[in-house]
Amino acid sequence: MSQPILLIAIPLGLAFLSIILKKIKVPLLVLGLLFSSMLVFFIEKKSYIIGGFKPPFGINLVVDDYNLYFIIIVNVLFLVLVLANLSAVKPMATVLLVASAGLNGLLLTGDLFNLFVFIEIASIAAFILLTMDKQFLKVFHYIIIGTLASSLYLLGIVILYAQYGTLNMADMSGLIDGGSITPTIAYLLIFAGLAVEVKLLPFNGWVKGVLETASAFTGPLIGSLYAGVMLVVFGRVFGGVLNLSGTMVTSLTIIGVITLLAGEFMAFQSKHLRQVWLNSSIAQSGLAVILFLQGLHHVAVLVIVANIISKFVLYLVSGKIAAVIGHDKIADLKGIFMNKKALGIAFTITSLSLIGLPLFFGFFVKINILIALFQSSNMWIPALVLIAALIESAYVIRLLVTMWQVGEEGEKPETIEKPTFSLKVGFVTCAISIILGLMLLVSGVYPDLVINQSVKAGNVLSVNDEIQVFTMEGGLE
Amino acid sequence: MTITMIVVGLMALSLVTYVVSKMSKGLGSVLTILGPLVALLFFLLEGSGIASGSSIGILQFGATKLGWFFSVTMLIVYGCVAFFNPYWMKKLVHPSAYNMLYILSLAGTIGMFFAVDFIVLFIFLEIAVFASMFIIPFGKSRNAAVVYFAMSTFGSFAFLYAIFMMYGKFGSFDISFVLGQLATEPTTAIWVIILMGIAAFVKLGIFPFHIWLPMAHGNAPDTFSPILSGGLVKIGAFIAIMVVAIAPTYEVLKNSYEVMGLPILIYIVLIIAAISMVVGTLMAIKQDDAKKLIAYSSVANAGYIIVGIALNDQLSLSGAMMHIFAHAIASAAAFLSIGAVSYRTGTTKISELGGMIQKMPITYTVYLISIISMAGIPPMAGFISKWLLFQSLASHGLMFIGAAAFFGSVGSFLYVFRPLSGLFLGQLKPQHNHVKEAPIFMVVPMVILSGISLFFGVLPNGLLNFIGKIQVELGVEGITTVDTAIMGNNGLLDPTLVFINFGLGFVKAFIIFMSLSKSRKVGLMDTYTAAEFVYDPNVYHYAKSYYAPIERLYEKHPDIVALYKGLVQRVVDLGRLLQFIFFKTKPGTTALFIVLTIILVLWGEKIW
Repeated sequence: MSQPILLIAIPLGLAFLSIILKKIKVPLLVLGLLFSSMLVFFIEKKSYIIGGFKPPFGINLVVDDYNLYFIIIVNVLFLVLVLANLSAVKPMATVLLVASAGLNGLLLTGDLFNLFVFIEIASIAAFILLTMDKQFLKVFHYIIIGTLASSLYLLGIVILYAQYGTLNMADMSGLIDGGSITPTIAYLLIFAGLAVEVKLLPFNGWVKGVLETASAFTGPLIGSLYAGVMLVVFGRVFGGVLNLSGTMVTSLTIIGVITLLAGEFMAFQSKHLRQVWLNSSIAQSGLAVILFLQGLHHVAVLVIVANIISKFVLYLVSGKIAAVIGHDKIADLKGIFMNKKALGIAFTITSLSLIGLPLFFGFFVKINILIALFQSSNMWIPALVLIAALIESAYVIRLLVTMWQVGEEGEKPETIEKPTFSLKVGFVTCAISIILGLMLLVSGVYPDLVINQSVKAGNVLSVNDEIQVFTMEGGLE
Repeated sequence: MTITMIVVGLMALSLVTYVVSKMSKGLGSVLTILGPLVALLFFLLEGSGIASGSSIGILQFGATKLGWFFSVTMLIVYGCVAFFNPYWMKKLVHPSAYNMLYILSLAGTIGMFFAVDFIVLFIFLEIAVFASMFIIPFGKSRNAAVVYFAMSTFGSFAFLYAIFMMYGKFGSFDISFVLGQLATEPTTAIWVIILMGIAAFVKLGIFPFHIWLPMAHGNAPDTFSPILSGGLVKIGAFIAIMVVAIAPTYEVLKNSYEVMGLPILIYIVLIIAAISMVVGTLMAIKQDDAKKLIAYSSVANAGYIIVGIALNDQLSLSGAMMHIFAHAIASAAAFLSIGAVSYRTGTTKISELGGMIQKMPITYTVYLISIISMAGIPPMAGFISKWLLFQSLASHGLMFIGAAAFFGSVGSFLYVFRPLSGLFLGQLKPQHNHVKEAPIFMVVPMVILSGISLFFGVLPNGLLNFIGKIQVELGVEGITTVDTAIMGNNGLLDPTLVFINFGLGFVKAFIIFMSLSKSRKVGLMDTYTAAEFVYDPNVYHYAKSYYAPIERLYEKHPDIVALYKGLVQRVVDLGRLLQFIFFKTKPGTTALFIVLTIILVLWGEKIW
């Protein structure tokens, strides 16, 4: 039996070691990540006490249906990402180990203050990693906003601690359910703190500067893994611990809806590949937040899973394209996939899944979102979600058509000359993209396993027996 | 063979086609011919009572006569058009993908026609849409694909929202159950009818959603335009029939305000359809590109189909279904003949062509027959459907809609004559002197389609009797035929008799023509004008601004495309504005937003 604390301790330990043993720090990094990615398959679902003090007095780590699959996805993808960028990560090996520890801590912890610590660890690692892209002013901007966010979060949990005398999530949840006073201001501060990390509008001023120049390494890391983990944390806090009610839910849902729509609007006008994806990530975060706030945890989980995988591929490929071509202006990427079909197909599958076309996993995400929203008698939100999806479809298809086709508008097919240049992207990147794309395709034809798992995950946050989901096997369940 | 096997088989075939095409483009394109033809064979052998087959997961199909009718129409079009594919393999940028998507879009449409639950219907609808969308940019335009997909997705999402509204009320996706329950929830029902109606309008290309037709049909590869016009837009007709005939629309609307004896909503639909006829006709008249011209004529014809479906009575519904069939066949044949000309000359612009009748007489005949059918002149199938529709309009006393339909019919003479005269007749351009008739395998499917148009124009009874059975299945009184005659409200029509009379007239004229002295054949340039010999053949060609006097009457018409462009521009502007506001490089601004939002939400908490 393995201890999940090792997922945090081993990378941290190796991080210190790698400072001393500079020569072998890359092997240490790979070793540490390999160890984590193997370990995740052996951990058991339960609460782990750290340091001998029983919760709520001590800190505990929790492994349950909600975070187990995310732990697996994040650790495996982290390893994959490092392997795909092995040449680039050398100067950052130590920081990457810290980032891995931070992300695992965020997913595992069962304690609100401990969560703050891991937010800080993960953020600091992110700040340093982002300097790889040489956009120092923008990273500095991120540092300021990120620090402000974690301060707000800290302030929020200070108020909660003052009121309830505990920082343990499970304990806090029980006390809040039984309590009579709603500490609105604390909720809001925590929301604001996390909203910066999950990129809700207007809290997300840092995102554009950081992600629009992200490389094939920092892009997937920040845009996919960090974003996914932060959403999981948001769900844990707002779905499982704090129970919002009344106007608060409405107000915060409105922020989510604005984020969703504004994200898609901004993505529609974006002229650069990574700018499109960062805006689309903003929109997807808004969607997940809406679903968490509406208590539809199982579909929120589906959104996060789909988003982690699809954005991973999209940022990876976009980053590589930008590195090879030197820029990522969409208008100049005409027919870029014509001589790199395998990569293009993986990219296409991923983006088609993102816009929720049938045969791809995103379709079941979309259908289940609508089922869940209509079941809770929402009429406006699904309409707005569909409008957002319409805008998303338009720009994604525009993008795909550009990247697959050459020739000016009105030019006849027989006169179009095929491009001769080849997109020089390494085998590893192609293989990763194709495997992840195939996963989206397979789970698009047979999504039942993922969907059933997401129902279990949703039930961890709040038990709901009346959940209906749409799967390939049994239709409605 | 069951429906499930055919649909799943076609899906599998699309993948096989891709792999085969990678090895040999020709072989792959032959598969695109065999796929639809074999499926058509199964449908014809098994008849409309074809077994639906066991379900695979949620994939469950139910055999209906309506679905069979639509599938067979679609398969005839796909099968005939596919003969052109081998000739286009060299011209396409992604031939393997084209072959795969061709079959995939067919699988999507067939699956959709037999779906028993809404989600499956939606899945296959979307498959058909995105498969066809990826083919369009293989042609002349990249933007057309995006416009097509955005429009189509708008319709699909309206449809999806309606599906979920019904699901929210009745807790099921089963089509017949849910639609049957609609009458118990009138408010929901009206929303569902409107939303599904919008979906049908978008797919059919009814005004104001018609702008994607000329873009997509006009710019798609020449082999795929016939599919779009003859096949895929008919998905909209299928949805429309579902809304009006399967859903209890008239029952839901029975208490609503009535205009001319019809519920106001139905009358509005009729008006929109009438606008489509007029707009489609007027726009078609002024097109120089033959493919865009036929695309606009599809808009006008979609208007007829919607009128027939919306009235939902014995004559109108049978007329609509006959029109669906007749127009699918005729427009596919017309697009194919233009495609054949394009194959030989490389252009579809009327002003760049002329005198093709001398070089491609069979193609010319095919075009002539298909436009006769599209214009609704006996003895073609298009006449039967228009006769039925006019009968129904007359018996309802719908004079304004009738006037629009009449305008559309007269206008169709104008627009179908434009390519006839400019492209096929007139002066042959010297650069086209070397042009030959289309290859035999392109001629065969065109002749088959023309034969179908003629056959069902002369002997429509078999088809009409089957349509009558569909009508009974839909709960409408079936169309009746006596011997070779069709029963209308004010008399009967015997197309066979009409044909014999026409035929005798032709024979008489032919005899007179033969008995007169032979005319001497001269070269095209063996002529003079204004007492001068002209040596430049281009001067004799008057296909440019062909209908200038008519076009001048409405040249300052408002352009609906501008409206959509404006809408897109607003989305872009709003996106830019949001980006400008929220993504400042100054962290202070973000901090300010954070604080303001917290205050705002807190304030909201206080107020409520």
